[in-house]
Amino acid sequence: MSNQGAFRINEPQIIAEEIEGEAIILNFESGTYYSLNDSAMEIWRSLQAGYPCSAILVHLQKSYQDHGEKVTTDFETFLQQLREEELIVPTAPSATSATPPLVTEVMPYASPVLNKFTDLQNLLLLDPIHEVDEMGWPHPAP
Amino acid sequence: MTNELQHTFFACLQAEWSDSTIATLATLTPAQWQALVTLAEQQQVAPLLYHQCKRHQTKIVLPPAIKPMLHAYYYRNGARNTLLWHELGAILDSCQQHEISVLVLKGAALIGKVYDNKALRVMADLDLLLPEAAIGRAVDLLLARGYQAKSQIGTEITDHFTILHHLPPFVHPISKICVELHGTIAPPNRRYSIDSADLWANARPLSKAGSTALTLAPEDLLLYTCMHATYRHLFELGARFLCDVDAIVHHYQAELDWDRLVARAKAWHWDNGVFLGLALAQRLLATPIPAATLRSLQPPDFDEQLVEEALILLFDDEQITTAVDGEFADKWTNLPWHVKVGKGVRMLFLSRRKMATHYPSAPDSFKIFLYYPVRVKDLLVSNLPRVRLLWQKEPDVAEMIQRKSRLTRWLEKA
Repeated sequence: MSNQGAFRINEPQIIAEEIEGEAIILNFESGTYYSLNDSAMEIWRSLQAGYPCSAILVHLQKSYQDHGEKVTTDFETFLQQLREEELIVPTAPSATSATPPLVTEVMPYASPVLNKFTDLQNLLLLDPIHEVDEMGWPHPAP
Repeated sequence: MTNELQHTFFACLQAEWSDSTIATLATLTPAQWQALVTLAEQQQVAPLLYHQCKRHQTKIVLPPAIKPMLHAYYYRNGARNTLLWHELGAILDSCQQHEISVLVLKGAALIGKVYDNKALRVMADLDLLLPEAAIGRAVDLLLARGYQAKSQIGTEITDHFTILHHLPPFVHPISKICVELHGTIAPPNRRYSIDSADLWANARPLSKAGSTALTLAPEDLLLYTCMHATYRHLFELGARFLCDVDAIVHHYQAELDWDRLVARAKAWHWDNGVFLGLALAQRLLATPIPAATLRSLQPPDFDEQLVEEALILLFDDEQITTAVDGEFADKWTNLPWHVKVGKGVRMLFLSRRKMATHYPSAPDSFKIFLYYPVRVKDLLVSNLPRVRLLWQKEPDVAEMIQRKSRLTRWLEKA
């Protein structure tokens, strides 16, 4: 895969929010949602900021020098997953700096992981306290 | 359920953990943690429990299975609320384009204004207050977005507000998101009914990109939270409403005008419910309610036993709670049989105009008469759970009905 291009979030179909350091990525049409582990989150933030893939990869290789080729392979696999799930689409780079800012505290390396969940529709159907039936007693006609 | 479990449960939900809370949590077995998480889930506060444990993660060690379980509740709720929040934005934008004023109520208002983190508060649907004159246009907008009314909307839409304060829910067939349009915030024909003009006059902006939505003023938000959980739901909303009270008070601490709150509670006849809601939050969650406010609201006939009764209802068996509400319990317990029968008959044979709010026919059409047998069937079906409960004559059901009746009577006495 070419790492020269950049990607953007596939809005409006995809909604992405960060709540206290955790990404919530949601397909508005299907109700499918996704979570990321820490290393995936780092890549996701860089993509959101508009960095080209090549710059993100250089940044990851510098941060995790001991892991060599694995970093490159993991990155490409993760990008492929994001594309297959239609979470990102190609775009022109838009970041203001050439490379993402270095993370001050580099965590031990872990392969980026995209977790997929499909239970949101069932959750929306759960409504144990809803007032839906107002026809009968105790609401007689005045 | 043990008192110790309840005590630990509320201690975990307090804004600050005491040393004794931390010491108690350190001694919990995995099974006790599991019971705590199950209770939090039942009470719809599992995301808050997760957040509290995360805040204090340096002081406690969760059993290996508990942390991912709690995180899953938190994360799922975050995803669900993100979806609801974005849909709210789209609806508000649409209303703004059509110059319809909207005041956002309940869960969406709380996550937009009070809770700092969208994942913390469990919410069922989107509740919107609209000027009565704009309701018809708002219904058209929802229908244009693909929503479908869950039950019949009558030709005279505002007729619904003579029965209830909101229209039947609208549900989107794909996303399953549910939206309720309110004409006011309390049901009509009750001692605690209010005119919503005053709420609009005091409303505040709800920051929402691309829209000019409003939400209730801090005092009204607190009053409404208490009224809804007490008069309307007789504590069946569980501990979640106490957490809402606690979050509102902490968020608006510097801003809340407590004298104004007391004056409005009394003017609206909500004082008993507001007192009980605030008193419970203070006792169970250590919410900083001024003593003078509680003294001003406390009715002369207040009995400590009422707090115990409310607590029992808070943790009540869901089947009984949802099948028998406070007003039904009160009427079932206190009305003579001939009055009960009379009410039942009146409920069956609604006026044609009222029937038209339930069934797809104009009130002056002959077709409306064909729906009376349908209504008999509908009422039988909708009342089956409570009839079954009453028929069984279980002692705990009878006791619960008595308890609900006593509390309802006391609440409405203000």
